[in-house]
Amino acid sequence: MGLSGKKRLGKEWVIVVIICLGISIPPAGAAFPEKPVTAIVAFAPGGAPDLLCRPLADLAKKYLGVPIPILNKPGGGGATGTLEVARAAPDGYTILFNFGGGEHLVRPHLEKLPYDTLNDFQPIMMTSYYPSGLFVKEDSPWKTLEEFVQHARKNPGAVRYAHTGQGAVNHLNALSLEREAGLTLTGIPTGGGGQALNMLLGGHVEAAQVAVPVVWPQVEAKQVRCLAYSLPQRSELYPGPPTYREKGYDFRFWISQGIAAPKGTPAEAVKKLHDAFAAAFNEKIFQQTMQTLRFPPYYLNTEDTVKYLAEMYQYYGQAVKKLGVTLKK
Amino acid sequence: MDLLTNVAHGFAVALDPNNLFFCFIGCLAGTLIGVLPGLGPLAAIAFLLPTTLYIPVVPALIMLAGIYYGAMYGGSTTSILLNIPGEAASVVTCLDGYQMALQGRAGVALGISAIGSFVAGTVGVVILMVLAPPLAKLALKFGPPEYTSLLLLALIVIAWVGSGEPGKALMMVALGLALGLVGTDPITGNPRYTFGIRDLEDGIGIVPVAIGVFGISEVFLNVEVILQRQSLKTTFRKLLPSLREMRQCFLPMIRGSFLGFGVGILPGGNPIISSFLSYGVEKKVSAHPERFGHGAIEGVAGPEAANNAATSGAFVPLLSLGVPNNAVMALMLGAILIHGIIPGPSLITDKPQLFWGLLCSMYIGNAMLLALNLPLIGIWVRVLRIPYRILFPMILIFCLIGVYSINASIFEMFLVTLFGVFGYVMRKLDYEMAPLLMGVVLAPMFETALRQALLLSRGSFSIFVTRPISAFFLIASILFLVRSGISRVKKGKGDSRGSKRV
Repeated sequence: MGLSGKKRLGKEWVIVVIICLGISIPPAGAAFPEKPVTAIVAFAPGGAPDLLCRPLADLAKKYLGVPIPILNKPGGGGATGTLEVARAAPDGYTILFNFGGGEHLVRPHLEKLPYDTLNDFQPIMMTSYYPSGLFVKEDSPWKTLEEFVQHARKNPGAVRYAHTGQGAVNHLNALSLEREAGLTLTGIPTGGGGQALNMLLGGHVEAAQVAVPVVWPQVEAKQVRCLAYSLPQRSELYPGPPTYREKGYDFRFWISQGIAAPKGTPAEAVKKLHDAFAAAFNEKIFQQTMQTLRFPPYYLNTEDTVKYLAEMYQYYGQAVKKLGVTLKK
Repeated sequence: MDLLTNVAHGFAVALDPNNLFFCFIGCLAGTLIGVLPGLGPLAAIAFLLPTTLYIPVVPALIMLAGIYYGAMYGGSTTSILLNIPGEAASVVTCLDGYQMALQGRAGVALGISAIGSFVAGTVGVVILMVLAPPLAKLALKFGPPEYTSLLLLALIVIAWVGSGEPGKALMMVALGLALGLVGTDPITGNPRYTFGIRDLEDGIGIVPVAIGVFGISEVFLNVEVILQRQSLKTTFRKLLPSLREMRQCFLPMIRGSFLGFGVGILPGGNPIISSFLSYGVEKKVSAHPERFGHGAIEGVAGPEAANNAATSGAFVPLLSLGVPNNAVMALMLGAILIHGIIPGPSLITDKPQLFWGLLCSMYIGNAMLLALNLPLIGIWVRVLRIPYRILFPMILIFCLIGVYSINASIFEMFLVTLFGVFGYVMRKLDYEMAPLLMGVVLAPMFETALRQALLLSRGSFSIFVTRPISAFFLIASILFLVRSGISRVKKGKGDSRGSKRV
């Protein structure tokens, strides 16, 4: 079975090579794209954003006609890679593959960043948005969000939860729950979802607030239980737990993932990029990959993406002010 | 009995010609990546991840795993021949491996590191087969307080890693710790000691420091002495360790294997810590610790075994809990998830061909690597015959490419150059670089664990003694300190420090 898989890979390469050959002799005043498009992922390989980007780039290259190498540029919680794209030449050959995370929508409201989310980028399209969830161990006494809230209200500060860092989207969810439900929790910042999960499974903390797709396998394996997650409505990818919203908590801190180019990229290049990624997005194999990795698909065209991100940016700005979140402690 | 049928089933999967092929590809790629300084398995695995969409999950994992443990094999080669770690975890191998090469025993050192890696790989796979699920549960008991105490022990042990003046080694540890604190505060998220330089917010990376102070500075030092040492006198006849040397290395390899495996299963456990710990332990238990740093073969065998066993250990939490320990394991998790398979406690029963097939392929892969590496020793040793005017620029280029490949950061290329110059000056002044590197590695881990533990206990230090695993490491740290204090006093009465000087 492995061999047949290899053959298919080979055939695709032949197609790509043929397309590349066709493109390498462009007529005068050649159209975009005439060379590979570098897709920057501002996180290390293996993280949630990275998992989704790799298959998408791989599928989109045959529509775009040029290779789309992924360049992982981790650092500064996503700021380093973001800045790289903000400063890149606006020619469509450098794009950001994980646009719309906390480093673009939340952290600009907390600290001075060297880029301007709304004015330095030309959004291209959205691919997904995924929730942050509140998790407890399967053998924990709290079966529902209400029971958890009740216990935490009676024992201020006694419930400890692991999250993925000060000011991260996961942290904002927990802070909002604290404020709206009138609780005091003890937050433990960790280096990422995997570490937070380790602390929860080892019984070092009572709860964890982390991105849902990463932890969902543990829910299916009956290791942890999800009490609630942050999406506007339930997704069939996460059967069982309710959303915060239907439990009466109205906050909208999910993680969006989209594609963006530097501001000033020609409209023609933006359109070509959009069309290639949209075609790849609609391929059955990519839809399946999103299903198996538990990323809810969320497609928006260029115009709607611009509107959506601007709206989320404003919303997060107000929420951060309301919650009084700061990095200084 | 059940185990035997499972293992038989696993070997049947692993010996499938198709799987064997992918195993070979992985091992070969891993060895090459390991040999090139700085270039690590993470970049290679990330690069190959999309291709795993098109091949079934079992050969995909077999190949990716091969790259990971293959890199650990290859990493020691440049450490021994050129005193430049091919991979961060191979830094310790420089200490005695390179000394052995200077004595004309490069072949023996390469041989023992391949054999040590093989022994460790074997021990690791056997432990994995027998004990994976319970061990994974145990590893989860390692929370911040346990980590704090373990890292304290590690900090004490590194004082014995150096072979020069203890005072100078301690100064380097302290400097390393200070450098390790640069970056973003792990708890509050504020940048500190960054002087407004954004690139410093993620801290000073281990790889730029390691490649700088070991790799780049080594080239500088060698350019100076080029006339005195035209080429290393390595006899080709002696490529394999003698029986006596094998016996000498047997226990260090076994100890290193268990130690490495233990560190590997811990959340955030880094192979580099396992190799440093192993070196410290071997030096401590040795009847002649003064030989360390001057070509002690145990100083190569133990750490090489440890860093290889750590890679097998890292698979325990991934396969039995579905929790990745480090970035490489996170990529492996991605490769599994992409195929719609959910790793976790039920993986072993639901997907026996994946679990047992992967483990058995790792065993076969280890044998393959040994078969691949022993004949290669002759070729690697020949690298030393390349004229220095060609070899040194090549090394510098590989060092820079390797560092760039990690984070695609130009800043880190400046950093590695800076540390190269710094390392050159400090080594001229007889300061050792290994304790410095350990400080850089341990500082952020220690600080994060300590502060998380105190958050968990709401500020009470009792958490470190009331939790049994943590208390155990604290007692071990105290014993280590007391015993070495006694031995130092005793030795001090005989000859004060004569044996310490290089």
